[in-house]
Amino acid sequence: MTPQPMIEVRDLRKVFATHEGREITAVDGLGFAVARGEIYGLLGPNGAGKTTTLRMLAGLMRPTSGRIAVDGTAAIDTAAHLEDPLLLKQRIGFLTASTGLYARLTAREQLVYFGRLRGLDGAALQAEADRLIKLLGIGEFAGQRCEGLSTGQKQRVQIARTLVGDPPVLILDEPTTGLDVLSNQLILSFIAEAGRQGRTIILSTHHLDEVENICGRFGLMHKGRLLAEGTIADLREASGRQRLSDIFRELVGRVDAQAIPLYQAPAGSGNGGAP
Amino acid sequence: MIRMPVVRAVFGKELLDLLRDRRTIFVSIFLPVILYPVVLLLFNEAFLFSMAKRGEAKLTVAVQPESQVAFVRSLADGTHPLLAEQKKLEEEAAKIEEASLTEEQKRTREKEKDEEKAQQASNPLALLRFDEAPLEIVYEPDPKAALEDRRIHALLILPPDFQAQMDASVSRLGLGEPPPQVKIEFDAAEQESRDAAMRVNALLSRYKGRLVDRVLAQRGLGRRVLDPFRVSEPQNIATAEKVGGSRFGSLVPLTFIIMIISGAIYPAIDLTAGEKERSTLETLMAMPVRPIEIITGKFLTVAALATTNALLNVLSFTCTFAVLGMGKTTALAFPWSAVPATIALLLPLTLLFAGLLLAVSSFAANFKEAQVYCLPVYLIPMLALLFVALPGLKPEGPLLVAPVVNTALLIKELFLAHEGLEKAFVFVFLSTILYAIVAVAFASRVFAREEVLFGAQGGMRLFLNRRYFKPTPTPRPGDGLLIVALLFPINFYLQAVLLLPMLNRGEEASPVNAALLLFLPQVLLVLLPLGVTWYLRARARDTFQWRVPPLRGMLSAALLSASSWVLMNQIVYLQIHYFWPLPELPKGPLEMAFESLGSMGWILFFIAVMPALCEEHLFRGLLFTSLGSERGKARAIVLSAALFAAFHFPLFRQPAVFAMGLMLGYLAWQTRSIWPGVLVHFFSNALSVSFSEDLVTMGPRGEPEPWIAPAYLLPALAAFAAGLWLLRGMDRDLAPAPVPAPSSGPAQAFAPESTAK
Repeated sequence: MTPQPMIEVRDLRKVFATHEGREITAVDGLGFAVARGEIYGLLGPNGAGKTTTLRMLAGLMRPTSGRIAVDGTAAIDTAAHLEDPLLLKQRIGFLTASTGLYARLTAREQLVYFGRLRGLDGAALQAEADRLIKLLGIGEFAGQRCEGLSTGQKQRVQIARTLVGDPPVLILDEPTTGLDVLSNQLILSFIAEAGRQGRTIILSTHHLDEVENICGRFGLMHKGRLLAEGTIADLREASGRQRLSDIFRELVGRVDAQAIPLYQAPAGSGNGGAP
Repeated sequence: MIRMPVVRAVFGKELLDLLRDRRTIFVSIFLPVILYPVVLLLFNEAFLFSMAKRGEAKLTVAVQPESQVAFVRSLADGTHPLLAEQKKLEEEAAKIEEASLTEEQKRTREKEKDEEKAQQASNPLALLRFDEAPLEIVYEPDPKAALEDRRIHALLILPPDFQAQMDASVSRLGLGEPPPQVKIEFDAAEQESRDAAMRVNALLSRYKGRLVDRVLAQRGLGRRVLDPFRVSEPQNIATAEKVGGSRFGSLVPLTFIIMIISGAIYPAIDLTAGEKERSTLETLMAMPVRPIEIITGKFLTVAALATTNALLNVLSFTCTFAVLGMGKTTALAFPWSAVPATIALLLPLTLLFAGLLLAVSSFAANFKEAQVYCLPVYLIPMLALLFVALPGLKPEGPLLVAPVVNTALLIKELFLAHEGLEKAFVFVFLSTILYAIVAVAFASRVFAREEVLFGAQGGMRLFLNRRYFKPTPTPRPGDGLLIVALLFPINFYLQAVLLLPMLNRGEEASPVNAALLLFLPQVLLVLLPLGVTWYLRARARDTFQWRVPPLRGMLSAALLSASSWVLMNQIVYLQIHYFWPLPELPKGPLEMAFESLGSMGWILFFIAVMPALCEEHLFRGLLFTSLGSERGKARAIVLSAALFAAFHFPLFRQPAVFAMGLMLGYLAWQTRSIWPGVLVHFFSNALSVSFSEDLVTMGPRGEPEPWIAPAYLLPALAAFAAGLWLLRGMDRDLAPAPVPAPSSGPAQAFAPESTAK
């Protein structure tokens, strides 16, 4: 790890109230760091707190307490009463499988709009749109309204939208959930390519085995905490298992015997932890 | 803080997005353009059709007893000898007259007839001749049941010996026995039955007229003895425009306001809840932009569409009426001169509704929920607008700043072409803009909150349910300002409601009414803040500063009590003399209320005790502590004084009240207690009402001098200075003011859908 990590998270907590008035601690004292140019896999079952963590990193949710620094500058530090989500948002491209596109805008218009929101203008904006259209092979359908695009085409536009303005950090929250094999493959190769270009990426998924070869290091989350962290070799050594999903079950089982039989990968995910 | 390029980008994108949606085009452009012509045409046609049907309908009238059926039938078909004879006479008279006319007279006669026809054509009601429409006269054994079953439309009951009684009555020349009684029964809930009763009545009246004519003729008298002089029709001096204005003045604002809301509601929901429902909001919020920038862009979009809608409405409405409505009559004209000012007034109102609808639909997670939230925004103004139709209500005093109602009232006045509305226009225009800004600011606070962004359901519950609030020492600044903003219109509506019965009856206030008028608005100033303090889980002791003040503070309060009222009066006298001569103020409702109270004890209670307690709880209590923090001393004092002054109408009093507010604010801040201020406020009001006339020195020409006699002024200045001197540095010795909890609304976020499982 480089001396100054690209993303640094310390003592991050997030407490929700349920509709019944109970409190749920979704993220409970989480801390990790991601080096410049690293692809970090944040793994865990549903409800582990991955999405909440990533939303806090993307500046979409405010932490109950803790500190988030990006590029050596603190953006959120509740102890110091510091809260600057714009600092995070400027450096981060955020992608999740659950978000949609503006149906009545064309692919190109989407890119131009998000470019404007990132402060691009004039010739630079058009050049950026052209670059992304070429990069993701959108050219053929760049002038069509998004409501008429196929799922795979929409996925390309989503990725292009995430890359507008060339943010140095990408946060990808379960980007492959609910996608077919082809779209899935597209996303994975895009992640790998973005990593090769030197971007810092945090990737969350519960499709554990498909990201085994993509991520440099992994953080295994369970019940809002980091259970284990390290390269795949580290984890294999710690758990004595080979496959990532097995490693995960082994490590969770050590702290929480109840957790293993309960853990079911969502239907249609193909792999995951189910025996 | 707001970066315009971002706002422009959002505005441009949202406008493009919405204009590609056919529903927007339909609601915002197509509907207003075709609505008025279509509605008016349809209404006209339907009206004429139903009128024609009414005129032609054969109505059945039952007669009792059976022996009278033949008589009534002869009246109905005109075969009764008296009627037939009369008709013949009239025809002969007309022929003779016709023969004696010159050519020129004939031509004028023709022309008059044509004009009459044209007049009738423009007024469908005039086409109806109820008294000439056919009536079927029958006998019914059980007429009451028949009437209920609608087999007959009216029932005519004559005495069995009607003719004999009537002859006797005529021969006695109305002396002795009362004349025979004829009864008509009908069903007032049925249009046909009402018509039938009207026709029977007309029939009998005509018969009666002929009878009278015959009796008069027998005694050699003409009809003129019954009609010794005539009153010509009351002459209308109003211009046609004004008549038109009065006809449209109440209807038009209502229509336009409904259409503005309809035009804004769809874009407002689509841009907030719709964006959430299509799950594009999360990506939008992940961009490096502030919620206020996004909401401003969205607001401008909604406002642009709603404004277009408002303009199209006014244009379509005026064109429709110009072309179709009243081209043929000269008595009614559309008040064109009011149109520019009406448009100018509708613009800020459009902004207000755009902001309001954005704010409430921001709470919603989807379209359906948003529509529910928007319903009150639609309904409450409708109810308020019922006020506008009340006669005698004018855009003046408090109603000038009552949201929505002020605009409607002013449009009504503009349509009546009343003069001197410039001041009212400024008030209405600016206050509505102010409300719109508040609405947008509120929308931006709600819009991007994570509970709303990620909640499975909308965040309304979260924002409103007390259970989720974190206890806080004092409410936050926004809450304090919101309460004042709410109290402003509430107070005015309350006054309007309490005053209305008095205005309508034109009476002096009764003591009970007066007491209510003085009591309720004041009590509200405490009750609402108390309720809000409980609701927000704030500590009442900190919020209202119910602390025992230091002794030095009370000493200072005593000095200020004795002196401040003199200085207040001094400000007023200087103001009168140098800047602002005492305006001729009409007696306000409050003054009238005071007068009707009579006893000095009550007057002191309402003018000194109540305001001292109630106003201090708001302005040096909740509002003050919500604004104050260690760095917020000046903000708390100046802002609370300004709002304190804003509550004290008329404008003339406000500079002095503002100065008083500054002093009370300083006192409250330095002593960390509300009680010294209550004391000073009480004495200041009580002494002012009792002795302020003693302060005036009369000049040589009997005019009041600008300066109070030094015998009063100098001691007052000294006491005032001493009072302030005692306060200096006191706040440093006391515990620091508690700071409200930083975030407003719920203490914690709701669990998002995935985590709540």
